[in-house]
Amino acid sequence: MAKLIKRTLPAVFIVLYVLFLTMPRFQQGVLGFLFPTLEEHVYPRANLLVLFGEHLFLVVLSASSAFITGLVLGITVTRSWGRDFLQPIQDLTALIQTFPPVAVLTLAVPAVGFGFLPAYIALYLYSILPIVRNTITGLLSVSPALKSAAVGMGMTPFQVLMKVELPQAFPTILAGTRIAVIVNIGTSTIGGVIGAGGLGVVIVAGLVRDNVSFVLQGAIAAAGLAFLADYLFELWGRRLSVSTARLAEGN
Amino acid sequence: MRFTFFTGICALATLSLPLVTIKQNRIVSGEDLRIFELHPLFGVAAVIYLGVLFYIVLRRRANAVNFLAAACIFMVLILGAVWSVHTSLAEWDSTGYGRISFAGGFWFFLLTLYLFLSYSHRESGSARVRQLSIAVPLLIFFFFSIIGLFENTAIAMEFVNHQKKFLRELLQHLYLSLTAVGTAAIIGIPAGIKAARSERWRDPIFKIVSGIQTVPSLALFGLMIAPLAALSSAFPVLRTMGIAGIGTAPALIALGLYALLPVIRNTFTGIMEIESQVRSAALGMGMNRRQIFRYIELPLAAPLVLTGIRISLVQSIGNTAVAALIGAGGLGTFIFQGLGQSVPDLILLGVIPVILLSVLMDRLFYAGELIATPKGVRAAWQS
Repeated sequence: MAKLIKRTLPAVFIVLYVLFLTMPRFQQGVLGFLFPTLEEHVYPRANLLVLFGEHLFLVVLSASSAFITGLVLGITVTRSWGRDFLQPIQDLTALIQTFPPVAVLTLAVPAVGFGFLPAYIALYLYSILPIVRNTITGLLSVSPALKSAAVGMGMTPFQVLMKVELPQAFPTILAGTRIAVIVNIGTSTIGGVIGAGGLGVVIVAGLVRDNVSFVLQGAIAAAGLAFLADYLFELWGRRLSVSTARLAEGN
Repeated sequence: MRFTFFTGICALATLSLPLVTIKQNRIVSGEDLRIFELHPLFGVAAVIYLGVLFYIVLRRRANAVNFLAAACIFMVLILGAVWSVHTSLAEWDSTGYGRISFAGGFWFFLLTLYLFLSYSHRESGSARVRQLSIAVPLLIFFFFSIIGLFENTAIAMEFVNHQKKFLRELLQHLYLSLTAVGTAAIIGIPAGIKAARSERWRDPIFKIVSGIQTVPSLALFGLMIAPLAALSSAFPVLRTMGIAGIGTAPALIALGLYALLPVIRNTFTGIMEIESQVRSAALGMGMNRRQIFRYIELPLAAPLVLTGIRISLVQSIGNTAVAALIGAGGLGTFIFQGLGQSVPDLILLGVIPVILLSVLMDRLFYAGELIATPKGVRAAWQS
């Protein structure tokens, strides 16, 4: 019984979340029930689904471009011709990682101005950090014996990278990407303040107009998105570990 | 050679991009100035500097000492150029509201400086050079700030405008993040120990706390508002205690919840990583469970617990900036005020202290971790 609940809970959560996002009447019902004294319950100036789309677009675009950059950077500094940069990159990422993401986001405004672009640049730059760090960790932890075996089989360096190193490092890289995406979803919520759109707009509007219902509407949507993304990464990671376990058993 | 060449390219970028922007007042867009536009002599010096630098780099003569020297000369050149803007201030600033903002070249200057110094730090064999690579740049920096490098810079002018408020918000910021992390440590350390001791509790504890971390900070602050507002309107007594939907109370609760995960996770790891032989040896010496906890587990786990608290604190300092949006004050006030009024310099007045505070706290706690590491463990690292 407990197992059944555990299995179906994510599905129930996803269905409820999709209903909340897509049906303004459902939002009205829930929020109206919670705050009977308020006059307005649903943010009137934009559909929640549209804002959700903006939010997702910003996150996916910045995370995927950061993924490519981080991967290339991580591969570069672990090759023999890029080793000079390994230590500096590690030190620099460790330093910048202590900068709060909000600071990086708002720092983009004096540099670039308001709108989508500064949010994209800040999120892109900031999410390179966990990805490049985990790429480096993953690639460095591939056993040297494995690499020499691959070289001994006659693989070229490029083949060793593609067929041995990257697959071995992938779970670690994925973990870094997961961190980047979750931080991105959180930070882009604040993007509402710098004119980048997204679900933060609803929360901020609620805070400015002193309307708790708007705040909750935006908060539910943003938190749900973060949970959903985290859950999908969890599933992906689990599938990876299952398939490597199978490989190890020789099936 | 690749690294030093890259450093040279960054120095080139510093010297060819606009170094500062001068503005008549805080609203208008300013005029960009490159180093050779400040004074032709600076241009000549810059060209000579680049020539010598690239000679050293391309001839592979770079080493810890000459890169440290290069860094110091570079500092004098750039900071001197920025400082010289003040002397010509009267020429273009008729209103007295004129201000200097740093532009792209200056940010490249900081990167180049970091590359120079990290290189000499890494490559030098002697502790003397390593100490000098920190001390000399700091001295040069202090010298220039004493002779008035930052006067008339935009951030300094915003600081002067908001001096009293700045101090208050800074203290409020520290109060919020330290209280939240302190509370999280009081709850999180026992919870981490519980998770390490009992397998039944482990899963639920970690599920809940990592779930909280997943929620976007702004959303969590928002989620705090509704129940607290309901509580304080249901029990007016609470309002007299300062608990309301908006303000310090929801901020502290949300920040505290956020700070839990690093503390719990690190306490848990710290205790789990102690080898079972160590425990058996203590048991064999006749220690009881409480003694094992007090004399074995606690000291051995302490550095990792402190790491957890450090991560929490750095994170909290950032999140506290967001708390300004729900009226909790702190340095975020300047950031969001600046965003609201479209005054970039006011944003910087909030952002830069937040970043400095994070880095400072991080370094401070890192030193604390080294001190808290038991002597025996430290000796084992060194051998």
